[in-house]
Amino acid sequence: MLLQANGISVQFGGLQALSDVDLDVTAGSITGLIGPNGAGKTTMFNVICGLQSTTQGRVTFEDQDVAGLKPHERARLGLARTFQRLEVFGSLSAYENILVAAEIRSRWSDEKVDSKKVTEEVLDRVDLRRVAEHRVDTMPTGLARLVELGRALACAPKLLLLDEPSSGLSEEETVFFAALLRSLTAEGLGILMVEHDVELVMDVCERIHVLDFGRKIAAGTPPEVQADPAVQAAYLGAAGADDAA
Amino acid sequence: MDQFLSFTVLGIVTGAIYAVSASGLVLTYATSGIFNIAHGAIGMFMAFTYWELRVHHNWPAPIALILVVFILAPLFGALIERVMMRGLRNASVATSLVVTVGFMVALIGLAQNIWDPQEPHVLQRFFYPHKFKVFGINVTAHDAITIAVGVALAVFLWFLLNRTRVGLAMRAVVDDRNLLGLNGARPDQVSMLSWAIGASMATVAGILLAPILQMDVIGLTLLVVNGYAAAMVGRLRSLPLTYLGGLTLGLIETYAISYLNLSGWLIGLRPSIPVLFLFIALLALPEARLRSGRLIGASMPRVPGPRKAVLGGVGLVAGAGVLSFILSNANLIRAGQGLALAIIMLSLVLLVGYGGQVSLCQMTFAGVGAFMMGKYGGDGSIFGILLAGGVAAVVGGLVALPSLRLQGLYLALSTMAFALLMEKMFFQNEHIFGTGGSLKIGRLDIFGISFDGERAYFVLLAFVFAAFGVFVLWIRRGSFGRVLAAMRDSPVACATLGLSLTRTKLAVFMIAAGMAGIGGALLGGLKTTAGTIDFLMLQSLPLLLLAVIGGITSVGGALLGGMLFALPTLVSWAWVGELQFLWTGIAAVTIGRNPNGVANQITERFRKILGTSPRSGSPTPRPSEPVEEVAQVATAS
Repeated sequence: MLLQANGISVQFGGLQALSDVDLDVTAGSITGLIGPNGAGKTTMFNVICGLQSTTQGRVTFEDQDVAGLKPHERARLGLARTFQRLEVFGSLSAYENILVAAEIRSRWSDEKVDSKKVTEEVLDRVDLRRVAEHRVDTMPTGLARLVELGRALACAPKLLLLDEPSSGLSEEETVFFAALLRSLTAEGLGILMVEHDVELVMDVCERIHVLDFGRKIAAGTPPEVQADPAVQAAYLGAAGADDAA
Repeated sequence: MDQFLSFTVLGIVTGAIYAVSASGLVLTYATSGIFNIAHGAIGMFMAFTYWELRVHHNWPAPIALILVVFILAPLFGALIERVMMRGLRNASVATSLVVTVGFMVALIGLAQNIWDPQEPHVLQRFFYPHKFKVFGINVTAHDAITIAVGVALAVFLWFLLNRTRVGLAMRAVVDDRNLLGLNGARPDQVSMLSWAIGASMATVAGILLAPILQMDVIGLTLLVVNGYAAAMVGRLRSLPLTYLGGLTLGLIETYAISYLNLSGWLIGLRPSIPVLFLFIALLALPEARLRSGRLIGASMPRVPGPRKAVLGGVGLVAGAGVLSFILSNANLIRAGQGLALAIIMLSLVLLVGYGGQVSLCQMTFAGVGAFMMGKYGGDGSIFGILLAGGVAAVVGGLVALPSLRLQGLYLALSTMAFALLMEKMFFQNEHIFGTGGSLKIGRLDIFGISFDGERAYFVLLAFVFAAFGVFVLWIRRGSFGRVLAAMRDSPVACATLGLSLTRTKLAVFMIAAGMAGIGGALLGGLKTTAGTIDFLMLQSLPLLLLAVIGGITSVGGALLGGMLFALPTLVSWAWVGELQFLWTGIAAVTIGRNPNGVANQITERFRKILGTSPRSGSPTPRPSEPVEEVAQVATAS
């Protein structure tokens, strides 16, 4: 198992943001993490990459307990992520965004990293060559999301956490994006994805975890999750779930 | 025992004033997100206004008090919020710090020009010399009033925030300003009211403190540092803890003054207690959590290529060579001072402009450099210069290391605390600059080539600036420069890419401190001496402001900043020199929102006139756009 999170609980003052959540991701597969707004999906991402401490629970990455490791130390183990609210380097070009990620990797990686070569490869892979020299804060959201993805890929991660990656993407870009994700997993990369585009999730994910009010209410394959009454109730409300049934 | 009780009362009096001042600071910060460095300056200015009415115009105290505390101060606070602070709501910490520092410097300048510092301004204690006995201890009426006011204001704030609708709105505006607006309240008016109350509280603290200490513009302004310390105990949120912090600091300070008998190297410890308290309070803060959700797109001027940079440097040195034959010796020293300060400002370009880390202690590193040069540089050996840079870099690392867990505002405040600490413990110590207060510093002599003459030294300063300029641009174009830009734009993204933010910040702090150290050594060499008053914390502030006015993101900006410093003396505009604090502050308040400053605007004008546009494909420069949020996408999960 690439990533395993067991019994994760997070409390913000009086609010229980996550309550005893289990989650796992295997290498070479796409796992979905879905749920209505406020379900705790981004908090779960923050817990995994070390931006949020837990009140309870344990996260292991490749069987190593990552408790106490800072975000940059977790990244060096092979964990990369994108953000729901864009966290691009706005004053740099798309090329420089990816280059700086490769250069940062070359600082900590034991492998010899040819930063420029990596950047060229990633640019082609995420199809950003045409806007490589554009400043990222002048780009539309969809392209900026691809820059974030490219930047994460430049770190050569083993696990990629994608937080609403298709938000702002056009239909055409979404199709390209789905194909890209599949090709990445074919190379052995594990992906955990928070996504509101249900069609995309059902299309690319092999397994889905569903959160609601900080609790895991369902997990399974896309058809299993779709048929789950608790999931329908969470998304449509109890009455809606009855109608759907 | 009586003596102990007397000191305790004194400590409570001082502590109550700190608590009142700090509560005003917390109130404004909590409701606007802007830390008002100028809080003490507002109190100072209003205390002087009270003096003007009460003493100079002989108004009755109650009328003068009502006018200043309940009318002028709140109006002033509301005006500051409306004109200056409202536009800074989404600005970066660096921008809002520069603007409030500018405002503080402007108020100091204005006060010094209205109320001549050479003339004594005495404010009598309330009901002086009335006193009475409590448990056998003499308590003055002023002390009793101070304690009563402290308690009354604590009760008033508690009642306001917990029992009134407007107080509820004040607490709500902290949590979610937009949501408060959607619920029918007026967040802007709530913030304005908070600033009005905050200014009144600063005024009360200033008026109560002025008779105990002295009516001194700088002294009263800097007493806010004690307020900062108390506010940090409350972590800029909790008013009860802020009050506790103020009282604790007041008591510790009074007991230390009364019972600690220090001499020698430790003689500066007593006046440093509030700063030490602030430093410890800052270091005790929990490590800042990296937050996502703010996209900062700092507009940066174009970075010249290596050839252009070197050509620019050669041009500067050649120009300095020509100027050295035109300017008189006195003017060469004046212009040279501008160049030496420009070298120190270059360190700020790297640290603040590229790295986004605000330092309020760059003159302190310059002072360390000057000291090393004077003490160990013989009669101007190159070894002294290298030692100046090396030791300043190490000191920079030592101060930065514990503070780097902090971010933005707290990091800037810890550098300010360090500058004040060094000022009192080191620079004002007679073991450092000698009993006369000054240390002889030799001018550089490199392998037998002496730069002793004014002309040669001026050209040397231009050469060092040019060399550092090329060095800074080399960093900017390279991998480390990209990492700095990335860290400034999004620290959280950098961390999730595997970058150690602490090590990166430490590196840039040390390089910048080393550069400032060399600049300080050269500045000392120019003046041939360095003394106790050359490297005060207050001198770091105009340095930062002039760098911002010139343009903190470019080498040209640093040069312009240095020249702006030297210009008034060069053209014999004495009035400009006298008003330097005032115009620097006002210019920083207006230009501080644009980090690229005047230098970049001039360059862009020339570019337009010459018709040279950016190369196609190069990043789009947007020189006039301030550093601020440019996009926020999606809503929180």
